[in-house]
Amino acid sequence: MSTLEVSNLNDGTKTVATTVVTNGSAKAYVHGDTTASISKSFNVSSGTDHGTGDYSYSLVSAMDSNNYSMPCCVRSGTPDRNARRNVARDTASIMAIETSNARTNSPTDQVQNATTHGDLA
Amino acid sequence: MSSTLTVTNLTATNLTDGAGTTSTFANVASGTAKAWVNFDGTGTIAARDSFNLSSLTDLGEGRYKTTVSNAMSGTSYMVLATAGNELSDYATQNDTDDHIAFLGARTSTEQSVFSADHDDGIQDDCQAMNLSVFGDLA
Repeated sequence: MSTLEVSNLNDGTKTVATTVVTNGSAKAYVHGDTTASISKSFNVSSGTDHGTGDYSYSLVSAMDSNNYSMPCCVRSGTPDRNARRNVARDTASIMAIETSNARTNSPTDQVQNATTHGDLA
Repeated sequence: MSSTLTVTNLTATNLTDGAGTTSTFANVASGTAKAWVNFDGTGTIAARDSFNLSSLTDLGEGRYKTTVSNAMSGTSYMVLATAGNELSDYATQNDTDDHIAFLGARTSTEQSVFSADHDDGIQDDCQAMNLSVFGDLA
């Protein structure tokens, strides 16, 4: 195995420190449907539908802890739908998303998008 | 035999990983988050983990400011923010812990983010705020 250690990367116009790329790259992302079926993903092995508005996705390569950042949102044509991180279910190897209806303050199935930033284990 | 080559500056058009997948360098540089944080927004607010974060400021109930160490190039960058909660809290309509995140004003170094109750929209502290920043560094 060969390793190339680089301090800065340049595409001819823009220079970025390699530490920005390694620290800032999404370590996983997922576009899951209303049953946790995966439409598009990276570093995600499977999705689980735990019930209405309650989803989780298992990572192929785990994060170093569950302290990672995981912004998420829904893809919906209906107003008042939103997504949040489910801190009761997430772990270093599981992304957990909950979706709901703000108008009724209740869980509802939604298509979700989430990305994970942090360090791999 | 393994080997390591160390260089300070590398100029490249494309990057290819060991599996043969190629990305343009511009996509890698632009698609990389320039800052991110997971922080506890209750009590004395504190980051659990972060990158390129200088400080967190508690502006009041459900109101926060993140400050990055290395500034963005302007104010037209993208921020993603999400609140973290326990599913049972809004399922039971627990008013104290069912949050949604909102974005506020920003500068090249500071980002305002808010947390409000899911059911009544009133600002409230949140146990797990997640935020990522995309764009060009200054």
